[in-house]
Amino acid sequence: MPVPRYLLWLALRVAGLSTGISVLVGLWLAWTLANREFAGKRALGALSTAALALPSPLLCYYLLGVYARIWPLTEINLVAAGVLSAMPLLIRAARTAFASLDPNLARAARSLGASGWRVFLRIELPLALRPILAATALAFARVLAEFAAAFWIAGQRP
Amino acid sequence: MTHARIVKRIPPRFSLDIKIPLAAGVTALYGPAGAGKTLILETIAGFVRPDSGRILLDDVILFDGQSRVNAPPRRRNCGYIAQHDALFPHMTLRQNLVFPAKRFPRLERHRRVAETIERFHLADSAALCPHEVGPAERLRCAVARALIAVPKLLLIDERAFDVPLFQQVRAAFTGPILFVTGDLDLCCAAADEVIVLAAGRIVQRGVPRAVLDRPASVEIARLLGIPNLFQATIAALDPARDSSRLDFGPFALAGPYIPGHFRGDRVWVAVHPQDLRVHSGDLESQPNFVSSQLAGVSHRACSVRLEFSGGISADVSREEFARQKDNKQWQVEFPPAALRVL
Repeated sequence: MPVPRYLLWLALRVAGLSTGISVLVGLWLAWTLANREFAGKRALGALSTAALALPSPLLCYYLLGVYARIWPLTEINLVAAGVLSAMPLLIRAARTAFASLDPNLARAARSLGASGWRVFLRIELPLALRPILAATALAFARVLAEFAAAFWIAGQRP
Repeated sequence: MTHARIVKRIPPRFSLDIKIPLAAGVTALYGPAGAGKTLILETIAGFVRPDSGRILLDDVILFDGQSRVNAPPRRRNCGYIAQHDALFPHMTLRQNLVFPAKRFPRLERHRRVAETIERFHLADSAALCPHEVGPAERLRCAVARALIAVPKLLLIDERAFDVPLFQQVRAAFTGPILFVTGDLDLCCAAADEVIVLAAGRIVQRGVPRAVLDRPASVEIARLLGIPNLFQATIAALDPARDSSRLDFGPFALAGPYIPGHFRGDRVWVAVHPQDLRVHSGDLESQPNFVSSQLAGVSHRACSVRLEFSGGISADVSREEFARQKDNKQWQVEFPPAALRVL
């Protein structure tokens, strides 16, 4: 049975947006978890890992249930569900990648006068890029695959 | 004025409490593993926040515990050479050098990078990545990268430094240098001052030769790797003849006068193994000759260490050892000037 074109376009749009938002927020969270000490760090790390194990139809069911009560089902809600589904993957991969970097590299860069952003963009991100790109591709595929579940559970056209 | 007063506790047991006035020149931090050498460099560079203290560099406050000033590493102007060079692996050596030079205008940046490449003999490998060049070039590049940022203080935590590289650094940088080492030969050859650390405290400091010749205590003598440490009783003191007689139990030796001690005092005596001389047992015994049995021989890079019964170690040249290796009986000579009372 041919897939309606509007549905395919919507799925790609939702997956792309969800992955993009997940990359931005997930990288920040992963870097913070790998490099900073703060209260609740372990809880946040455990939560991000536990979210990986949550069955996606269940996640979609609850999310759509909550959204449906607050405001009507829209594309924004689907993107929000996609972000929750993609982000744990990205956090997990990026955190491991950032934590495995030699801390002396960032130290050397900082002692050479580089700001935190410059150290991140010129040293840490390029060195951790491969696992992050792999996790991004995986996250995109996961959101795309789960779009069907979300759509099915919603039981209606968004 | 440049000095560092640092107090830092690391639970459960370690605490660092030191005060170092850093004069221009090279200062070596020497001590066993876990003495706090690297921690000192990290706190001065700004990577670790001390619990209290004050760090001044050219009258600029980098850290002050009371007024809660803590300058970030990038504003401290401290060149930091980490262990294993810490060159950025995804950049070529030239890009590594350009990284700290970004703050200079374009032409100035190119001039500085070109000059540095020339000075540190990196022209052939400038276009290669760190993993494609040898350890010596990597180290030279790490030094060049730290110096291109025009630091006011150079902190070196790299143990692979050698004397020629130090000479290159000193030719290019006249400010204070603080380096961590476990190599006493390098201390003597390159440092103007050595600071001996143990368990987070400074136990002795001074000109390297003076510290080696006069360790302040038996613990420091052990830290400095002096194997000949004996307890003795002062049997006689003669200030007029600048002499003393020390009773070690199985043998007695004549030494120089020991000021500040009385006859009957128990003292520790240190003797550097290279100051001892060995003779055949067939020779007629002389004053300060001790008959001993050879217990072991270990070959060093430039000498041979002979280990005798009674815990006596003597370093002799290879040629000397070749001449005497067939001795059946041995005598060890303790020159009076070699006896150092701690």
